[in-house]
Amino acid sequence: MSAPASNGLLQVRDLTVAFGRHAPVVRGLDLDVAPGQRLGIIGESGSGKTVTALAIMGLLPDNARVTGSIRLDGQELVGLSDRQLSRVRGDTMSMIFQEPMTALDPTMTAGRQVAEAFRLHRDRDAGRARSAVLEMLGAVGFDDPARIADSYPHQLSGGQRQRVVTAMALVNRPELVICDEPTTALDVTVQATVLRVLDEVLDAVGAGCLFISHDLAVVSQLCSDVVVMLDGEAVERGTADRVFNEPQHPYAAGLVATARLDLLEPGTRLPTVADHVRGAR
Amino acid sequence: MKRAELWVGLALVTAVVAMALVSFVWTPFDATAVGSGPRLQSPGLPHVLGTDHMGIDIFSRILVGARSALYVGIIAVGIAALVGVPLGILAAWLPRWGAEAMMRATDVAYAFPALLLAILLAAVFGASTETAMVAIGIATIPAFIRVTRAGALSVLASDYVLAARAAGTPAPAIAVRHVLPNVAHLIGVQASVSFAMAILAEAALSYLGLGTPPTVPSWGRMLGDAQTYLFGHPTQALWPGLAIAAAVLGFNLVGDGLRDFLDPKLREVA
Amino acid sequence: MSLFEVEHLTRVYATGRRRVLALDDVSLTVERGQRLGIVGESGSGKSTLIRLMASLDKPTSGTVRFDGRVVSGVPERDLGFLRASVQLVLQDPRSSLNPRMRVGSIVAEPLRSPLIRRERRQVDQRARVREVLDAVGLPADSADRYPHEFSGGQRQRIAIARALAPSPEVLIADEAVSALDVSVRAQVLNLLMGLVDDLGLTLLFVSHDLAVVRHVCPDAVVMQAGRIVESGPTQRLFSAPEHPYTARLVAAIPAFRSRS
Repeated sequence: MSAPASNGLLQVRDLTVAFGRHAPVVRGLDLDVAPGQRLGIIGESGSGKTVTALAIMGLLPDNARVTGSIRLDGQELVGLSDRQLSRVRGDTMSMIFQEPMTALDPTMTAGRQVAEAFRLHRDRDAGRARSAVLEMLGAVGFDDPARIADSYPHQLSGGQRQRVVTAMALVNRPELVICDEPTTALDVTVQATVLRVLDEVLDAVGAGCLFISHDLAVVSQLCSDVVVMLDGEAVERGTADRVFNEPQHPYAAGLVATARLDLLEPGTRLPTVADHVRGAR
Repeated sequence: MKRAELWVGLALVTAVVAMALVSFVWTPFDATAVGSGPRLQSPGLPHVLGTDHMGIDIFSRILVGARSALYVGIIAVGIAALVGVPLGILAAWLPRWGAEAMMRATDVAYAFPALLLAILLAAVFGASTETAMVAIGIATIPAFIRVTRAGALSVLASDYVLAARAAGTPAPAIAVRHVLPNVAHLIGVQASVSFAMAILAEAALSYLGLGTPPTVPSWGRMLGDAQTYLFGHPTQALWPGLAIAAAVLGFNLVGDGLRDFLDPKLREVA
Repeated sequence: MSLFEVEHLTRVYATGRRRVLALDDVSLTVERGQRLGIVGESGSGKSTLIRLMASLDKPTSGTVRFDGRVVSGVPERDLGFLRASVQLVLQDPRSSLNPRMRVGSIVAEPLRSPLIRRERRQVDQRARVREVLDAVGLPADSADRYPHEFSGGQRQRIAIARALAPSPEVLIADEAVSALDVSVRAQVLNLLMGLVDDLGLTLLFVSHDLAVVRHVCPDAVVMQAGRIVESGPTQRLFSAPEHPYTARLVAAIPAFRSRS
């Protein structure tokens, strides 16, 4: 289970996060993402997966106490001021949230929001913003990027909004993209499109990805490697194929078993996590 | 930060209530006996805050004045809540056009100044504390209708009300069992904000001579009386002014603090 | 005679000048004891349909019959038989349970309804509450506690207990496991399927998740934009979808991808 001392893109060591005087919600977590690698974090509500993402982005509220080390491209992020962090955020790393409506400003056109994200970090290229924006909107699968660029968020569907958010996250060609349940709020048919688009642009940009989800099948589609979190700790890690086919930890085995509805005879009793773990919720 | 505001507010409100309670059992001097001391004394001893133009101890009058302020606040807010809350729930329930008509009427009433209403009532029934309270209470009804309706609308759209309807729960039971408990915090916030406004309105009406009669100690009337001597004896206006400001600030801070404290959305995140 | 007969049901929502056709000429029958899946994405009209079937909303046109009696557009006071027989389990137990009521009162709510009491013989409410809490696997002392003291899965059990309290014939589950964590989802589904079996209930199972519907329901209807585009045995919908939308829906189910 010990992570190698890699010259990787993201290196998280012994990350512990606690809020106020409460017990830590993330405990001694190690993560490694190599350049271009896609790591899935699987966990349920309360497992600490979202807090981990926010800790890496430096977006935790003031009452959070973060210890351990988070290195991005060798640079230590824990302890950086918000100003220093904001230079990294959106440039070297970016984030895609679950709810595309709240991630977009309702008073600004989609194109302008992508352009803002671009200008913030590439101010010298301000003149080229429009063409970069249109190119990025094309890359996330819009046939008519110009029309989308001039639309306001409320004029777009949920799936279109999430693709705009994806364009915002990738317009600066970040090295790491953190996705927190990016398709959970979407319809299944829309989810399929957004996942395909995400897969393509991550490849095109060559970005590494930390993909957080409760949905094992979705993670299997996008990620080569997987970490399973339970109550703030990583209980299983390995390649996606290995974890999904031969899970070692009982909790991971339970999660895999409940997720494989396709292997069951309809109408039969479903396997539960509790079958594998005593005292699971 | 917000927690601190709530505590400051509670401290101020407690102080006002304590003043009112103390005044029932003890005041340094008689708060109504005209000419019991020298007139227009500056703060000192034995009159810690001085005496007014009738020679009455100002500190004693401030203590007793807290009673009128709270009395007016309680009755006015009571009238407004007792009428406004049921109407607000009803408005949330009415079909579109009915609610529309009711809310437009509420808007008109909201725009009608409390002061004008008080002058009207005073002209008909004579100026008294009771007239002022009723006028302020009536003028505050629209605020309660609005806030209750807004809260009730979201409760009525909730899944637990849908489940209650599917369980065959009749409308009055839904109102009492589901709507009222879940808008109570909004009403509480509105009540403390309205309380502050009622105290201010009572002071204004008494200042204009439309509220509490001259014999009864009232902060507003004290302020009005002090106006005549403003240049010679400025502290005369200072004490009732401070008392009004403290009470109004206190209730407003409590209202704001409660709003944040009780907001379930803000709490859920923590 | 079918248990539910839905004929040419249409529901138009008018907000200001905008008119939204939520349900467009839908006809459907549900047999006693059937487990029917209603599949669709957001905006498909599936929630509107079941609200109309439970007479919690009035149709713009068309009729709903339950047990041979018209229930659409009927005044609430005449709906006792429907309220006693048809119960709902909604998606998110965080919003379907009144946070300021104790679990005992929540579960007893259908028993306190004057409408339902006219239909059902008088029961000892406390005993019945204990009975249904036990049936969903919650300890008896749950009755004195508040919803926020329970986990998501337990809260959905409370909602199921409330639905069972008046001994209904039909259970309508509206995305009843969608808001739950995966590890809890299987447990709640097992519970639902077990109860439906043991009590001989008719189940209307509304979901966006075709994989779950296939597991729970032998038959299903697929809805899109207010219409039923296809219906039939769930296995057949999977293996040989006739309507292109059904085919898209089946194809969109995220499958486990193997890289080796």
